[in-house]
Amino acid sequence: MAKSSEAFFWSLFSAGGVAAALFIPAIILSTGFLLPTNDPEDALARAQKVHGVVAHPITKIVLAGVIGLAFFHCAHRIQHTAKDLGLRPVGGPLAAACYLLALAGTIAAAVVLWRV
Amino acid sequence: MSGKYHRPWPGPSWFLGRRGYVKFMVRELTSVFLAVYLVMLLVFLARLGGGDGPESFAALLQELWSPGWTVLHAVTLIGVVWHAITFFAATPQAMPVFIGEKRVPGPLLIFTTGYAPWIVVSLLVVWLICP
Repeated sequence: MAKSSEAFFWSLFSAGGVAAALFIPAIILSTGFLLPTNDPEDALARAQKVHGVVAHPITKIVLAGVIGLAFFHCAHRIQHTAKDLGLRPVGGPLAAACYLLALAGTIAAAVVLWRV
Repeated sequence: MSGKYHRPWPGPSWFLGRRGYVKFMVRELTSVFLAVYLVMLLVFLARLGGGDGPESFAALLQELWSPGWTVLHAVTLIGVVWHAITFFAATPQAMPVFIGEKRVPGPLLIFTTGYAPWIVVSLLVVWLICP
């Protein structure tokens, strides 16, 4: 059987799925419903609290890990689904493009968090 | 007979044929909703950076107080929650756990590796960053 890297990318998919499932719903709830406000003083107080938490090195490491792994989860799943929907003839380049985008997202997350 | 046999492919709508296939495709497409939110999150986190982080983020929190952003968050939340539910449900198949000769029952595994940590982490996140 030809050598395949599927197991490696499946591991990232699996880890990313767990990370995304555990952390992202609460974060969506926060940025979408619990944090937004139309009161400027409230907004500043909430922003300072969030900034205090995210600026901590441990938060940055955890967030970068969660976001990076979640990107690879999406890349793997989207790549396979696209093949299942008929793009199998271009499967190789498609998979490479998906994983490269995930890598770009991971690097972007690290850069953004570094600047906080 | 010459040439290789290629099984005829029913086309990209193959998954509409059975309810199980539709549910499978919906599950897989939750990854798109997750990807959309991840990009949104990076944009939000970028507002936290730079010298005037808190002020810029405070302005963002006021911008997010709008129907458009709320609907977008609701849609991605539904997708990501469905991802979590279906992902936890698949755990016993992907990772069977045995204690000696006995297999740990599916629902117990789903709760201990899925819903329990999910509740703990979610409470921690909300407690840390929300008012």
